[in-house]
Amino acid sequence: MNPVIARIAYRNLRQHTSKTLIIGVMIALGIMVLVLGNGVMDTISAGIEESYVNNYTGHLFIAPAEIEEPSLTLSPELMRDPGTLIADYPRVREIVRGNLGVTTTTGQINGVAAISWGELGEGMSMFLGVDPESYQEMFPEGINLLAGSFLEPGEEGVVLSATVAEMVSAGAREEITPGDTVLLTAMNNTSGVKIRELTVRGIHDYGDASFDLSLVSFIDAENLRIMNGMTVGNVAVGDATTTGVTIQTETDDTMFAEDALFSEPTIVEAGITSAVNGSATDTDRWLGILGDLSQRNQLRETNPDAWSYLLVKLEDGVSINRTVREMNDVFAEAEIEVRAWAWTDGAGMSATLARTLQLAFNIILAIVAVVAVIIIMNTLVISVTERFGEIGTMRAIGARKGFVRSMIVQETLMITGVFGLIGIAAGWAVLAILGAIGIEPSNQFVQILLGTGVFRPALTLSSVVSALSVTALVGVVAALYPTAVALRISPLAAMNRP
Amino acid sequence: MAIVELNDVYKIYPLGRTEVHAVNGVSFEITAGDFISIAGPSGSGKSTILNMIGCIDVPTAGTVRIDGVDTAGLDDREITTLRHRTVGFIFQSFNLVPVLNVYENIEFPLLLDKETMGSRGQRQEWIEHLTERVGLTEWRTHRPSELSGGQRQRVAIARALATRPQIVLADEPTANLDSKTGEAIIELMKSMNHDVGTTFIFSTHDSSIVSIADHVIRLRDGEVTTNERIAREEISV
Repeated sequence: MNPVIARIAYRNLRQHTSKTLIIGVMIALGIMVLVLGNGVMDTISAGIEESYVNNYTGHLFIAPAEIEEPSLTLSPELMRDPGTLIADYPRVREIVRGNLGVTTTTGQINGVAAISWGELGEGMSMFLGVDPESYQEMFPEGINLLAGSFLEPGEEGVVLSATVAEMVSAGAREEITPGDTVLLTAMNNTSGVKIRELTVRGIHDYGDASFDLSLVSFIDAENLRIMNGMTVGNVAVGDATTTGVTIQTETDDTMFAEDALFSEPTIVEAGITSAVNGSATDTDRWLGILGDLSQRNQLRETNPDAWSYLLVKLEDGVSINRTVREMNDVFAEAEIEVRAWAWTDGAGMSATLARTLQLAFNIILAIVAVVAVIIIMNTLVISVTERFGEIGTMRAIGARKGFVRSMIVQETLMITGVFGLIGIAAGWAVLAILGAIGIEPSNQFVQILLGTGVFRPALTLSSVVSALSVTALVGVVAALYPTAVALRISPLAAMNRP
Repeated sequence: MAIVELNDVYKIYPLGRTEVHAVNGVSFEITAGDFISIAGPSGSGKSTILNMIGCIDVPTAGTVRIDGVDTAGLDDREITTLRHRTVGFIFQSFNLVPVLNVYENIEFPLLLDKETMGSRGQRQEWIEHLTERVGLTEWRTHRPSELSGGQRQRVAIARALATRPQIVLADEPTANLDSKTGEAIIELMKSMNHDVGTTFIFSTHDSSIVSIADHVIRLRDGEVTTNERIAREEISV
């Protein structure tokens, strides 16, 4: 590099102090905002990732191929058809466990049900049907019990979220506690209306989790399969007619017929009740059916391999995206109708919100960068125009175009580099202060984003790298037009110098 | 030996719907080592001819040869190299780089090409010699803004000679100086011409300084009116 170029570039910047300062302050402010924003966004993302991966989602998950908008709380497809399940689950699990990076797996079923307790206690909850053993192995610190216990293997019951429990208790004007019995009512296209009476085993709290997770309760997998229609009976509709019992898909007429809704007993499986031979008023027939529980039990038999999702945890350092790609290749090759997704795809509202904000932030950043480029470019063009004679003289006495180009680019890079570093330092300082004092979210929106604890943003390597990249990019792009203008200056311009 | 040859050179500038004929069929030769004055009133075409000799402008017609090279067929890189190695410039407005001091301004042309850069020691010795020769040793660390007009033009003379060019072109070098300083500058140029042997070509409309030249080309309306060599023994240095 020609030392005289750097010398001229540096001294020109010092010579034109006010212009240099105007551009410099703009760059420093822009980069500071970038570092701050990236630091905050990275801290949010890292917090959400750690929280979600360790407590709710694992690193990746397998979902039925027909689910295109997966959510580990509840996807639109599962909302419409909760009976959607992973095809050939044992084989899928075997393939997943065969991957070297996989440490643990667990199945999960998703559903929604209304809860009623006593005469007035009412609420609504999303439910995760889990296998308690493997679920707790995967998320040992994911369940924060406030009362009672988590589900034991093979045990029926629910573990309500604190938010749902509060909702139900508020209606009943009495605090719901473990040991109480609640009625769960699920209504969907797969199974019609299902009502289950289950014991509350515990009450848990997701702590700093987001709003959507705060409505998630746990239930034993068997009961959620029944409510979702993941039963052998439901799967074998065609075969059931041979037993003399007609099973049909519910219609509004059958579901809400006066007899069906108000007949005794009240705690029944409405799907079967309203379906039996099209009438529920024939007490003898009713008693006959209830007397012979073998048929009902046969229909109630659940499919033990029916799961909505298979959650997967990986060893530290294993690439999530690469593993997802590899697994999808294997599934495609084996012609299994499932798909692997990264945890971010199913993390629900918080992760989506964080990603949306990150996107919005990047768009704002791009606009700021473009404005900065235009302002820097204009100022540099003015500077070049003012130096027409000087640059013309340089060309006249033997400076090649490359020399002029280097001079303008170095001036731009020098100013963006120096003030970019000042911006990074300022951003780091502000982040350090914010990290030291912490930010306490003041409203629910901010809580969803930052979590409910004290938020402490930190400087991350990626935000520094990103800031440096943007600085360099702004510098180079801003130098393009002024350089083009400078290169058009003829040596003849030297003659017109005042 | 002719260092500069102009053969039937025309320079026509378009001006709206009309044309300005700045140079009309000019032909002359300049011998290496001469001290030449191109004289004439404003608008006579002096600067245009100097620009074409300095390869910063091209003729509309005719040929300009510098050291035997026809400048017409050269691309930007070749012509810049030719300019850098063969021609030194002294401008009416001095045209120093404002952010460089006296020493750095003189050094500047040497740093534009590896061929002329040499070693730091060689450069320093040569620049200090030039600085001393133009009488600015004490001012070597000063910026142009801290110098008088005459001092600036001395820096420009030293800079023009830095690459040891065969030709130095000076476009009205005394125009922005008072008459006493102007005379001193012409004396200095003549002295350098004598010492270094570089061909000096300067334009002027000041008849009082024309007499110092050993070859005078007079122009009027873009045409040569007289092309006169003066015997060396008649010239006092």
